[in-house]
Order: sequence, then structure tokens, then C-alpha cells
Amino acid sequence: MIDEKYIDLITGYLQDSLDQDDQKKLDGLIEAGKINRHDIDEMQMVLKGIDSIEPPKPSPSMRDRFYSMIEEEKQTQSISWSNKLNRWIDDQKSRFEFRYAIYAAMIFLAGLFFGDLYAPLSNQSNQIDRLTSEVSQMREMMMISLLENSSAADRLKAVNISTAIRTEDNRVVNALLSTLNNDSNVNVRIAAVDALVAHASNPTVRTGLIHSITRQESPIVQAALADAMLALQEKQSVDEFRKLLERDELDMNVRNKLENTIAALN
Amino acid sequence: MKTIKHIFFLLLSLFLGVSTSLAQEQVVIPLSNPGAPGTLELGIVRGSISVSGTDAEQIIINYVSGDNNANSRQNTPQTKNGLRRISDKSIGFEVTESNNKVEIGGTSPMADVNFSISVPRNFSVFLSTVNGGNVIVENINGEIEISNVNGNVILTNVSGSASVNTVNGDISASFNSINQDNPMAFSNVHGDIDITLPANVRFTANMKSEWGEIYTDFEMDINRSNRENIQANSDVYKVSINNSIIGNINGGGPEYLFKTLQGDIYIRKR
Repeated sequence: MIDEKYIDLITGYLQDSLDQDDQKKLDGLIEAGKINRHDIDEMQMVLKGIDSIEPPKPSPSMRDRFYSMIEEEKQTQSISWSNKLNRWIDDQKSRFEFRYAIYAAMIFLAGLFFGDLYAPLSNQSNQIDRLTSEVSQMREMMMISLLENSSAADRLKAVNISTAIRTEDNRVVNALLSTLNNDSNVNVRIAAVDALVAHASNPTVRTGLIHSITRQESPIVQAALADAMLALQEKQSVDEFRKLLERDELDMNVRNKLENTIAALN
Repeated sequence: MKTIKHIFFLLLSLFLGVSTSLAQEQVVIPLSNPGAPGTLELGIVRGSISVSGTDAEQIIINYVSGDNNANSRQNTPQTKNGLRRISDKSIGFEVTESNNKVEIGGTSPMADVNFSISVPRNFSVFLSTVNGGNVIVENINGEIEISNVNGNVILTNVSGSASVNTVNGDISASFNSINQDNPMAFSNVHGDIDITLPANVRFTANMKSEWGEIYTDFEMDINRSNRENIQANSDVYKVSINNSIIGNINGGGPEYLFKTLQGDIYIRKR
């Protein structure tokens, strides 16, 4: 028998695919008696014998059996997929009644209705605008009622609220101007000047502030009005400040400030 | 509602003697609702006012003529050309009490009276004077509204909120606690403003000193962006509203106004 480890060498030899090194190695092994020449010849004969054997042809019945098995497999597959779905759809069709469609439509409409209650599809920006103006109106009402309080702290609060009111109507501005001209408390009047400057886009504010200049007796309010006029660059106020300067009782510091203000406005 | 109305018309005449005209006089006013908060209103033209909170449940008004001429009046003759003098330079005023609301009024603008009043602690005070003295308020808890012209205003150991203005005088105030809802305002022309507040008070300070400086030891988050777009008649002015400093303390809150022309502003942490 041929040793297992030489099988590769011998089959290579038999198929004529040995390179020179392997050929020498094989020759050496044969010389040394490790491989018997007869064994190689025997093996060559076996190989030739195998080549000459004709492989048997499959019988026609085998072929039929093969195709019938494939067909069976196809059947089981289609039941688990499309057939099942089709059958389910057919079931639903048979169970369908017209009232289901009505129910569905009713639920859909109810959803629309409740959804619209909480988050309207339209008019959202309108509603926000309306809410903003309502808040503004509430602030306005609160401000005007606080302004009528006897407590200076409440009136200060009112004046401070007014700066947050953005409204086109003149009620806030008129209330502030009347506070500026009539309030008994100097600090409230000072705060009113600052608040009016915040509403300076309204032309009533400018004329109101200018007319108020000569009505003020308190030096600190006169100074605050000078600051406001400077901030608004209101040149028409110069004449009014000149009238103030004619007053003998004018505070020295205010006189100084008014002169500076007039110089800066001209 | 039970209303007690006391009307005192007080005449301090020289008929009672010169010595009494210089001595301190006293009026005691009982309250309709002892123990409940109340208000005191006093407006004079000449004289000083001092109000102090005590544990008493009534109002004690001490008054003294501050008129130095009263002394010299004794030198004017009691009789002249055979006629007896019947005129007097009296201190006259009127006190009304209604539902814990006490009003002192009716003083002559010519009379110079120094008031020293003690009230229960839970009292709000509305005081004003023009000439001749300081206004001092201590140990009360309520709303404080003071207006002076030529004199200082000193608040010590008070609670609540205050609006103080004077023209020529310092304002100093030291608060124990604050009514967190109310804004405050302190303004004068010639004098310092020195306010001490509790460390935890939240407010937005609006500070301006025309020719003075502003100091504080509060952590102040100063908003330097007080520039505002002012739009008018399609002209757009971009100007600084004023050069006042606006700062948030402890996150900001009601606005506290500090405004002076010639003086420094000190805002201290208690």
C-alpha cells in the first residue's frame, strides 16, 4: 500500500503535473524503496478504469417526482402569504355594511370638532393678536384704576405698568399726561415722564410733554422733562424752557441743566 | 362702621404765659380699632416732623412752636396807646380720626411747628413739609410717603415701602424688610440718597445722578442696552432714552427709582 503522505505526490505524477523538485523527490523515494513502483502502476490502472465507467442517467420517474415536490412546496407557500391576505380581504368585504361608513365619518367629524376647540386649524394668529390686545386692555384698566388710588406706591405701580402697554388709543397716554400735570407726588410725576417717553411714537406725547414744562414747579420734574426732551430731540421745547429760565425762583442746578439742554437741542 | 371723630382746635396763646409757649404740648388721640393698621397724614409748611412707632395703641402728638420770634414777642408791649393787646400768635391745628385714619391739618402756613408723633408700629405715614426742618420716621411698618423741600428725610428701622422726595436735603433710609409688591422712589435735587435694603430684596433699580456718582455693594446685573428706537412721524430717531443706569438685583422686581441732580447715590446691602 502507498503511504497516505505520498498520495499527493503520486497523483501529481499520474496526472503529469509534477515540477522537477517533486519528480526528483518521487524518484528518490522509489529508489529508497518507500514507494513501490507496482503500487503506482496499479493506481494508474484504477484511474483509467474509473474514467472509462459511464455515469448512470436519471430515470424519468425521478424527474417527475422532483417537479411534483416543487409544486407541493409552492402550494404551501402561497397559502401563508397572498392567499391568506386575499381571504381576509374577502371576509371583510362580506362583513361590510353601510352603517360602518357612517360611524367612521361621525368619529372623523367629532375629531375635527374637538381638535378645533383646542387647537383651531385657522385663526390662530388672529386669536393670539386678540389675546395680546385683551392683556393690553386689562393692563390699561388696571393702570387707570390704580392711578386713582390715594397711595403713591399704587400710582407708581400704575405708571410702571403703563410702559408695558402697547396700544394705539390715547387713553393710556392721556392718563399719564394727566398724572404728569396733576399728581400730588413728585416721584409719580418723574416716573410718568419716563413712561411717556416710552410712548413717544404717539404725537400726543410730544405735545403733552412740551405743554407740561411750564406747569411743573418741582425742580426734579423740570430736570426730568429736560432729559426727556433731549432724548426725543424735541426742538420745539426750547421756547418753553426759556420761559422757565425767566422764573426767578428756578433752582440753580435746574437752571444750569436747562441751559445745557437748550444748547444741546439747538 | 363706628366712627369717632375728634376735633381739636388748639389755641396756644400768650394769655397762658410765655413759658407755656415754649414748652412741649401733647395731644393723645385714641384709635377706633386699636391694634389694626392705620394711616397718619400730616402736611405743614413750616416746621419739622418726627414720627416714631411704639407699642402704644394710641397716637401721641407732641408739638412745640419752632418760632424763635415767640420769644421776642414778650418784649412787645401788652398795651399800646392805652389799648390792650388781644392778638396772639397761636399754633392752630386740627386732628381727625376716622377708622384708624388720622389726619392732622389746618396749620397756618405762617406758623412754625415742630411735630413729634408716636404711632403704633403698623402705621402708614404720609408726611410733607416745606421749610424749616427734617422729616424723621423710625420703627414703623407700612407705606411711607414723604415730601420735603428744604430739609433732610431720614428713615430708620422701617419696613414696607417708601416714596421720598426733597429738593435741598439728603435722603437716607434703612429698611428692615420690604413689601415685595410695591415700587419705591427716592428723588432730590441737591443732596445724597443713601438707602440700605435687606440683602434678599428683589428689585430693578433705575438710578441717575446728574452730577454725582452711584455706589452699591449689591450684585447688580446692569442693563446697558437702554437704548430704544423712538419712532415718530415716520422719522426714526435712535437715541438713548436717558443716561440712567438700570440694574436688576436678585433677578429684578418692582422698579426702585433713585434720582438726583447734585448728589451721590448709595445703595447698600444690609
